Amino acid sequence: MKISDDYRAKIRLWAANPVVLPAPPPPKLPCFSSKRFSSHAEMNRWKRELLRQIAKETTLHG
Amino acid sequence: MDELLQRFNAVNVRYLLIGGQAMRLLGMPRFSMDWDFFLPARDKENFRKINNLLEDELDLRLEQLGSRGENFIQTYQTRWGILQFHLIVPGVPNFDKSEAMGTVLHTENGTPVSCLRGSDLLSSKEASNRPQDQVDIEFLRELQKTGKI
Repeated sequence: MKISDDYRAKIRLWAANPVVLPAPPPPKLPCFSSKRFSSHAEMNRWKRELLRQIAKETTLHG
Repeated sequence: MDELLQRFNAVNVRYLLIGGQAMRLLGMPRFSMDWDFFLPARDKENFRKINNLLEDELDLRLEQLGSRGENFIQTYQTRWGILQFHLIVPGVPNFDKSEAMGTVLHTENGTPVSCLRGSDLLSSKEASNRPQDQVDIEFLRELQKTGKI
């Protein structure tokens, strides 16, 4: 097995030599208005829906 | 994003970076759409500073924590990306204690960023314990084992 196939080995390598990689450009996101949440569960539900929407648009428009 | 962080730093906004971007600044090659910030829940002056800095970006003002947990997390889409402000972070001490033990990391461009210390980041990930946190937890435990956090 290649070391790159073993995710635990990858984690050990990353942790042995931590490097700050540049943040990739953000994906094109659908516009949304600001949100206020009262719990993580509420926020996670909204986020799952946003990710679903992004996936759908990516499938439709490439 | 460096521009926003520099603005925060210039007027001494009290914040601690948490979440995926903090993981990236600890050296994990990881993508995140959001920039998550832990803020003191009821520091009115701090909210005033942030609202002033982000005046042109926010369609709703950032608010302090409500008596019944309202505004626990506030999410904004801005030209710098998605900003999420957390007024409580499960698994870690309150903001004042977390801030006192916080650490300064640097972006890839050298901008200093106040961050939750690595061991508290690990505690917060363990407290959330979502499926998507598992690799982060393993990476942080590995850093802990090797004395890097």
